[in-house]
Amino acid sequence: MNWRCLACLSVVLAAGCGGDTPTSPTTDTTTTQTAASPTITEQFDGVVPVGGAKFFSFTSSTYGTINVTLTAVGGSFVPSTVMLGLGLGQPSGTDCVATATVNTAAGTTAQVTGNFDPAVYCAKVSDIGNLFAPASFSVSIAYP
Amino acid sequence: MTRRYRVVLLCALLADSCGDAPTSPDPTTTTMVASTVVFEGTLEQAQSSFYSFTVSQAGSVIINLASLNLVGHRDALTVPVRIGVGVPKGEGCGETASTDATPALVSQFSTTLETGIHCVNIADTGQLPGAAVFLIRFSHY
Repeated sequence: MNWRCLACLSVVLAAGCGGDTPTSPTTDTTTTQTAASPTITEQFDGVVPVGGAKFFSFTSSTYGTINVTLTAVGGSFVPSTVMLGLGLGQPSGTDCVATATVNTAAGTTAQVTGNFDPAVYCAKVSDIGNLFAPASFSVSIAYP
Repeated sequence: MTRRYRVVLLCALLADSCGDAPTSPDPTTTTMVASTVVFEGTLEQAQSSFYSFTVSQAGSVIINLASLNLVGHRDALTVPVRIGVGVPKGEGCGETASTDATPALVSQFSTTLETGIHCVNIADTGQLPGAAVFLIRFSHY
């Protein structure tokens, strides 16, 4: 056996190290969480100033679906079809940090929706640069 | 030492290092450090203002109304305002505990909070003579 063979042997020996104790295979169980349907609906009415935003906090008590619907926009010099920012997130500091946002006009179906864990959330309405005057708005928030 | 002897010695060392029993990790102690937050703003007459924060471990929150001055004035106001804690609700902070306080160098209010999102609230009790600039310092886990 020459020195090259011995070198190979050392590599094999090194690879065999470890001393790990064999473990039993684990059973992989996947649990599917069922999202609860909204049971509570709150109305958030307000006035969003030019370049500003308003938010509304609520507590969802169980994992389930949250629907946020901008149902109406109005005011002097504010067309009802104007698009505003609509978001869903969590209160932080003096603001609502929205994690899901859309730019939308008022409508009848939820513009922001999703399944969320129980926690405190906030719905936020903001001017995205379209307003020339303060806009009144109505938002419907449905949560479990 | 010849090259062959060196390789043989290497093999012997590698073989000797095999088969060590695993050792348990040293026990560690996790110490949570309180976060200190400064909440500054302007409190209008008959209004309130709040600040939301997340408690990551149940524990106490300690609140200090450090200063309260009329806008544009240096002198500290001596009228009490309400400071408290709660959970963000609607367009405000749904207070669960509160006290009336005047500015001081020591904490005026303390309570225990569970994990989750909470808020510190400041509100006029009806005695503010005008809009006031405030500074609240609070710590939480």
